[in-house]
Amino acid sequence: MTEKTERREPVLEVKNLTKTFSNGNGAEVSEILQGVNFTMYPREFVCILGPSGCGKTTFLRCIGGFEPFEGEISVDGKRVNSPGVDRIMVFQDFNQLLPWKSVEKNVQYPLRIQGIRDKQELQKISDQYLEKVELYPYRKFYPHQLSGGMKQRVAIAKALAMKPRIILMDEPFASLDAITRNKLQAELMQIYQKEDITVIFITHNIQEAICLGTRILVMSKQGNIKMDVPNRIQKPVTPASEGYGKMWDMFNKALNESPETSGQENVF
Amino acid sequence: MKSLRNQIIFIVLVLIAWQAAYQMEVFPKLMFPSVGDIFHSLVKGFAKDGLGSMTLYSMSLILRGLAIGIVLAFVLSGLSIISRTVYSIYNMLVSMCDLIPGVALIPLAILWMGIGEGTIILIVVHSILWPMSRSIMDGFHAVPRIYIESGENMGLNRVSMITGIYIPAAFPYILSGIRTGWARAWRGLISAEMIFGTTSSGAGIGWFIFMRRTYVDIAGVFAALLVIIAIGIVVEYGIFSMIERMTIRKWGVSR
Repeated sequence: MTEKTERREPVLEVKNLTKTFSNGNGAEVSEILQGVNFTMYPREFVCILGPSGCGKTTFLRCIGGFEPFEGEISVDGKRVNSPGVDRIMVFQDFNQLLPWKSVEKNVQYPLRIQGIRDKQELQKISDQYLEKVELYPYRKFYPHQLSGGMKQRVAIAKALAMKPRIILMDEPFASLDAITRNKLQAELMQIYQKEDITVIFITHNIQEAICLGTRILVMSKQGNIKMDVPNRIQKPVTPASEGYGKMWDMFNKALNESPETSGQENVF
Repeated sequence: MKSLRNQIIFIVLVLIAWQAAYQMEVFPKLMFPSVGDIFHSLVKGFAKDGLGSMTLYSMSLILRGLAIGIVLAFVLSGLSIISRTVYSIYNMLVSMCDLIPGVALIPLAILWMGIGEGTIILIVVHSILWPMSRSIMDGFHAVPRIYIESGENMGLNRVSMITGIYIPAAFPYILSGIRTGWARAWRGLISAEMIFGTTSSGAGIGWFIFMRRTYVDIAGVFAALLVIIAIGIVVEYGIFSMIERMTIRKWGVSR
């Protein structure tokens, strides 16, 4: 399939997504997402930037099916409103691996649930994907024996092995130190270039968004997409790449300028 | 190893203090046997008075009760995860029944079911079921949300969610529930046996203790208590600790 024909069919369509949280007694309702529209095509790597509290995680969780919402979310044209194996989530929390399963069993378990029973095949798949994240030597380890970065790599391997339509990443590297984060970004970029994957990646880190994304969205504090730009900087991106500084400035401005909210911020 | 040494030193010190109290006649000798008397009674109990077979009989009752109780606790607690209605009712039932001591049910159980193994097993099941269910349900409710969401994301159905996520994630709670259940089971069993006496199919340790008391054979009573303690130690260090090492320690969820 050429890229052109593929591009005509969106993998994900979000229409008028609205999400409200009430404070319990139902009297005060705050709108986290205000009628968000978003269309995504296969092979895109969409990074969503936004200040904390803008609803970017909630947006991702709605797509993942973990939150009830108003509006419409479809994957390959089919409406979704609960979690599914076509949208695999990689969480920020290092503790997303099942501690009672070894690294390779963590990768194999969801596949077994999907009906792959053959042990040799499971082994082959888990070996293959753990190799991709350079954790093959650690396949027999238990999650508590790994560092945070290693756990995130296992979570990524697990997501890749399931071959979902979209991988949803909720700031998976945010709790890592800068060196590990850069290494994992580069690793993820290599994987993206080799594998046929589609990714939504939430971050509040501009550098991360520019390095990874083929398309970058900025969400405003009011919970809507205020910027949606393609990222044409040649991968791998470094701060020395042409256009990096300009882009960084643009996003930095977009994240910091929010005159409409300056009055509201003190309300809560 | 160091903790084992300390434990042995502690026990030796207790035995010395015991023997000293006996020698100094702190308590009447009839009520307070010497360490040697207790040891003799223990040997004699096994050799002549059928303490061995009574122990085995008690064990067989307790194992059957435990098996039924554990299965029931898992099934009912599991159902209470699947259905909120089951949860609200079962939670109430556990709160009500957990307070009733097994002994308090014995008169009723005898009237309704007669004196037989079934009645004792019922008492044992009653002693185990409620505290275990409480632990399991507490454990289920303490399962971190992220495991549940991971499970949903992997496409687990409701039943595989329980076996694949809830049970292993709540394992520290479950293990402590089984420990509590096991201890409660002994209490229920011994009290039932003491009140029942013998059933058609045999007598247990509780009956042995009761008979020794009737004969004012206090050393014999202590001998039977020692047997219960020994079983407790074997089960704790042999079985529970082993399960702990193979599970929650290996998984790094418990120190």
